[in-house]
Amino acid sequence: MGILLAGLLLFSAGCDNIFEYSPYKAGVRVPYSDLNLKALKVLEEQSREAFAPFSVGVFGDTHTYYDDFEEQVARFNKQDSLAFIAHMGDLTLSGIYREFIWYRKISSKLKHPLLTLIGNHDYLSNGEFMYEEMFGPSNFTLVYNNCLFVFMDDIIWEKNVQDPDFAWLESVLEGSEHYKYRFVLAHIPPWSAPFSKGNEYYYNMLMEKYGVDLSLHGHTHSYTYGQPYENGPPYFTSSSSKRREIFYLDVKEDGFEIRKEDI
Amino acid sequence: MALKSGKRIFKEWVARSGSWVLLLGGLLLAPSARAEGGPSEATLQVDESFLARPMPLVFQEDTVLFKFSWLKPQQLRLQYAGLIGFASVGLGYEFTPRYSAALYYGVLSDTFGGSSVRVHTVSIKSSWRLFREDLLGPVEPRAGFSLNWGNTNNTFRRLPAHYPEKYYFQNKLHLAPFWGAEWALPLREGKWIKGIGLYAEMSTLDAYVLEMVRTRYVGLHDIWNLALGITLYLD
Ligand SMILES: [Fe+2]
Repeated sequence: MGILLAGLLLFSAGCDNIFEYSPYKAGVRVPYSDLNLKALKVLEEQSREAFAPFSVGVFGDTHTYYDDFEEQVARFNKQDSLAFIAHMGDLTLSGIYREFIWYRKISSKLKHPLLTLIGNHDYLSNGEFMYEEMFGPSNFTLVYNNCLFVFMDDIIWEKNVQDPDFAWLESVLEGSEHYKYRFVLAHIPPWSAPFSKGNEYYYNMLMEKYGVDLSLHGHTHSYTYGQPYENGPPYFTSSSSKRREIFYLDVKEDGFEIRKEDI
Repeated sequence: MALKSGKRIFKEWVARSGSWVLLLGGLLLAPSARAEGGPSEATLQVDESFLARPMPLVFQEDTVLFKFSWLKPQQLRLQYAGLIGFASVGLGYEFTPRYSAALYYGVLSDTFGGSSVRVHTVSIKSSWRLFREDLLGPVEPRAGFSLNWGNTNNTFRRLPAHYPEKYYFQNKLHLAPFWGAEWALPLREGKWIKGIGLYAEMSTLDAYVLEMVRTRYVGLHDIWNLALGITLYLD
């Protein structure tokens, strides 16, 4: 038995968590806490007071497409001058503990600061709590080189049909006219099914009212760029990792541009 | 976005009611398997109390005599970790010399396991002895699988009504294969315990196996976890 036990232990020496209490476990207690908050701190220090051109890497819906995800990370690392990378949400498939850890293990190889949005899949089982402990609050903002980035949790069904926190969105967009650009990032685009017609209208109305320059999303698993509403900003959706594409948001003096790169 | 992939196909198989009927049916029919072999001598000697009174039950076309005393477990188990909670207790039943099953209840909470969430898990574990009894002395290698039914936030068997059909796959039930061994010590003097066993098992989850098959990133070394337990063999 002793030999057998030793064998078991040896075999599992590679695992960093040999004992697993539950796939639904949350309460990380590993060095992975407040990752977004830590990245935001780094970015605040890097940011300049006045506008200066910069680029942001964008991808999302990595789910469990781990091989493609790894290649996306490697491709982003070939770029030297990215301000940060935005993950548009759905970093897991079932919101279970190991999927969060796998996401962290792969994304930790990124040499650029990473900001991770929450997606609908990340709310499954105890993912909501896992996300909060690992990354921080699911709504947050960043001012970088005099541009405003709003990261918004717009998950609805998985919160038992709860409207997006439009009051918060409005509170951070209010008085943002003095920034050079305003970008809003949220996992689900407003035309997608979880949004009611009223919420869809209201979301775009807020974009228009506060002069948001671009609304960025994930969720659809395919790349789109266009102006779906008569008024309001252009909308962008990133593809899933399976499509083997990454995106850049180039923010320039005379405008901004979304660039797609195939891997 | 709901994903359409091999995972769904696999998981649909796992969740299709037919496969559960088969597995649960196996458990339900286990008493009849005993009945076929005839009640053991010990059962015959017990007085005709209510528990020991034969009760006719019809399984399909076969009538078997069911006794409530058969529900009395032959084992009590206590387990640490192993995907079904920080700690769990189980009732074990030996159906054949090779096959035994156990019903576990496990808990994970702030007090038990330091998790910020509470998870209650009910698990039915089927295990098979891999070698003939006494071939390896007191060590009994075994393998099998558990059906884990986890109860916590945002888990469901049937999707809540506000979702479109098949938006998500069910995430309450999981199949967990395992392998391991028990080291058994007979106790001569025990009044109601005739033996004690210490076991160690490596287990994994359907979802992890699927990622191992589907991706290069998740390897065989990434999917296992260890459970430790004690079995008390009741007299
Ligand atoms: Fe997705």
